[in-house]
Amino acid sequence: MSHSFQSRPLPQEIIEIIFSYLSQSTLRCCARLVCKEWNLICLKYALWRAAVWSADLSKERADRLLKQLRRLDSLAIWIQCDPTLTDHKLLTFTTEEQEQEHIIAFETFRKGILEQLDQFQLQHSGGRGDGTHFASLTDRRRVLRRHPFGNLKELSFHGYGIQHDLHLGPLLPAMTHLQRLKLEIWDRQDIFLMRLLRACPVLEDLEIFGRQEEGLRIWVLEDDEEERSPARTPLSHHPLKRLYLRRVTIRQRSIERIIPVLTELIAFRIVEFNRPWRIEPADFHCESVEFYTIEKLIQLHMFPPEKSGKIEAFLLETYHEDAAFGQYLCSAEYNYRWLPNLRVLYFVTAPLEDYWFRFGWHSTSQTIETVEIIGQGRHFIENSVVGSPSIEGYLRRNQHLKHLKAPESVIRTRGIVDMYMSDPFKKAVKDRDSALALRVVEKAAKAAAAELEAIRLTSGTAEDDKCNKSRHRSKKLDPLPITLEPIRLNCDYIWVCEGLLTLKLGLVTDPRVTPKSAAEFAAAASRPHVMTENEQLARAYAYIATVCPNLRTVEFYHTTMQFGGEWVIAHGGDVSKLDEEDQSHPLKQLTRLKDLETLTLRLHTIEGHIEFEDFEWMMETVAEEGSPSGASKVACWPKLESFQIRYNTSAKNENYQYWMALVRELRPGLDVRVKQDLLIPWCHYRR
Amino acid sequence: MPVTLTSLDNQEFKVDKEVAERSILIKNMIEDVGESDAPIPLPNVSAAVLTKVIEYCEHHRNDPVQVQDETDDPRKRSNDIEEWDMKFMQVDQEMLFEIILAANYLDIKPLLDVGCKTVANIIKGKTPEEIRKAFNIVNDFTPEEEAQIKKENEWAEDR
Repeated sequence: MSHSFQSRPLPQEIIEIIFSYLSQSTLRCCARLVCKEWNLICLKYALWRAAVWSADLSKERADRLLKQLRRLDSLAIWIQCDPTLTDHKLLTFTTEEQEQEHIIAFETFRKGILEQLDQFQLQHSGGRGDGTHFASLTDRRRVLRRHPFGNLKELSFHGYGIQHDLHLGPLLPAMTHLQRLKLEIWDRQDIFLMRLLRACPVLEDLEIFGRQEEGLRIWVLEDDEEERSPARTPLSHHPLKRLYLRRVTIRQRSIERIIPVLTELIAFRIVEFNRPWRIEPADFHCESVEFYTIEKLIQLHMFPPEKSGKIEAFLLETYHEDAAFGQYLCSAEYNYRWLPNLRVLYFVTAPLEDYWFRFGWHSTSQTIETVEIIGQGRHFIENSVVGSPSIEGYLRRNQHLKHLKAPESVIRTRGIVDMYMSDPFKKAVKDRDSALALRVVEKAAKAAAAELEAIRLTSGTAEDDKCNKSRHRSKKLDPLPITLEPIRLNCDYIWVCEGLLTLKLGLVTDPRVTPKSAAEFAAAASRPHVMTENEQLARAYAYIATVCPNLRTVEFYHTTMQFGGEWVIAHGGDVSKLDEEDQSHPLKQLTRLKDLETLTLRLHTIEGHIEFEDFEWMMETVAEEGSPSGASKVACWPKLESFQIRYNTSAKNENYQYWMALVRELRPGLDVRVKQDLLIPWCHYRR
Repeated sequence: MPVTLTSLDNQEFKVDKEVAERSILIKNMIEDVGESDAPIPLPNVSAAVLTKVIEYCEHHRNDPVQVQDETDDPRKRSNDIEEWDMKFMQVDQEMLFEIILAANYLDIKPLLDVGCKTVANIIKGKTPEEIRKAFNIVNDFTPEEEAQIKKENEWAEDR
């Protein structure tokens, strides 16, 4: 019998060779799980771990890693070169030699690897692009030109220092297969869109982000000498399907030129055109700079049917309350005419004002099938936790709408909205007549009870199971007195959402108010006190933890945003109820959520202003009781299973990493992750 | 001029020098020892396996020598095995492993590669349990460890 003896085991070196013929997914999902030895060998090939090389990418390490990377489908390099962080083992680009060092590593990449890459991501962050840190990009460009990525399908650049003449035409000489291009460029830069499109003939997705004060400027034809030369035949057609522009400056006529070329465009996403990031026309010293704004977009019929006939998805992301904007959309003139084939409409952080639903142009659309609300800023609590009265009516009116996706709480609470909007309740609030308010609420709650699953109204006197269908029916609740005044967060009505288990919330804070400048701002606004950003957060967290004490899953989108002259949360309430220490520890407020199981913080801040000074404090409090450093502390969130930080800023990421590593050590059972979320999730509109 | 090879079980094989020198190990030995009639002992290889290995070397006696370049390694494929090699590798698993071990010992890189590709092809598309069964491997993970890895994988996919 041939199987009478067991085969000699293969030595590790041979298993390694065998594994080199296996795909990453086979290694990851199959081979790893066979036995411990195989798992260890697989980890040597763990591209899925080494994919993002962070701070300490030294030449030695790069070379060593590269030798292991036998087959590579995607590569992300993340260069952190903040010269102020000398304590970290960072690649600094302060001397010519060190620059060279990096270039050598980069040269190594191309050998046998770059040609096969499908995806490539280069991120460069930390140092300002003053040229000394990253002047070698021109060298890099030369490298790229000499050794084009023949098969590259996806390319992303993030960061500073992509200097001067990055017209991308010369940079991408042979991107014949490139389908997806992401550029997040943080310093002043010009991009010539037409050249770029020409260089990437099969490009389908294009995302361009600007971040710096001076902004990213996009030019199309009129400023591009190369494109204007008579030898060029004008580009008349390009297969681009999805275009996403964020915080860029683009002339109106550029858009006018480009839109007709993009005959296949099905999704168009524009973000923050309307408030160019700290840009004033005067900054450009040009005679005629027209800022392309959402208002103009509509006003000027930028998308008349013949040009926009194919667009099916539109995402609107706006961070400011702008009645004029709403009115544009509402005016009957634009009904039907604007994006006639629109099927999917996304709102991100959009103010959900009444008119939005009641009179909005889309409410008369015959084609829209899906509306998705991806979280709101200041209006969230006002209009979503409390609910928007018009959503129901909107649904009723818009017969074609098949899907309304919105934070769960929006849907769930709609049944009791009428109560909040009722005159007796408003009167009760006005008169601070809590007895009357209670009666109104109880009555409304009884009527709405059939629809309520997640909201519990607590009367404050005793359990009142008669008027709710709480999931916490059996749980003895502490009486929580209804207070109509003390907790305010841009919100006239406070209610206690004891049954709410899941909350996804967008929080917008105003970064300008630092502890130093608070007095100044207060004086300017003629207010006794203006909250600093930390206080704004502490306030918001305290509010949430108080009104929704039984939350199990919390996800916050933090956005730092400046609104033309408006404070966001800053005027929303009174921090005097929080003691001084509390104000500087926003996260501490959340420790009231004893049942918290999942906490996700998405720090989508622009300049990294939200610093969470309380990470040190957090580190101690998440420690499990009995673990060495947490021995004397009671762990907060005893039920916490998962804790995630997702960020899209670069400035503090090593803090997150450092801190998370400590949490992992202190709380080994906890699923801790730090992930970079470079973009607010792109609407993956696929037909 | 023929070279004599002696297997683990003392069987002697006479092969052409050109064929024997497909093995870098033997080539180096011959170079070291110089011209000699003395048989070359291969105490790690059984007669059955050596027969197979010699069969492979005979067939590939005229192949050009592979130039090895690690950094320029192209993306490795396992689906480019020649037809003859494929048939040659249609042996039971013990033999397959023995051939790989012998190729490794004798330093015959093309044979080692073909063997490894064959094994890789066996692994492909199998579940971990099927792989264990095929390769006689004992699962030494605790259920917790297994769950942990699956969790990690989930994360990796999520990227």
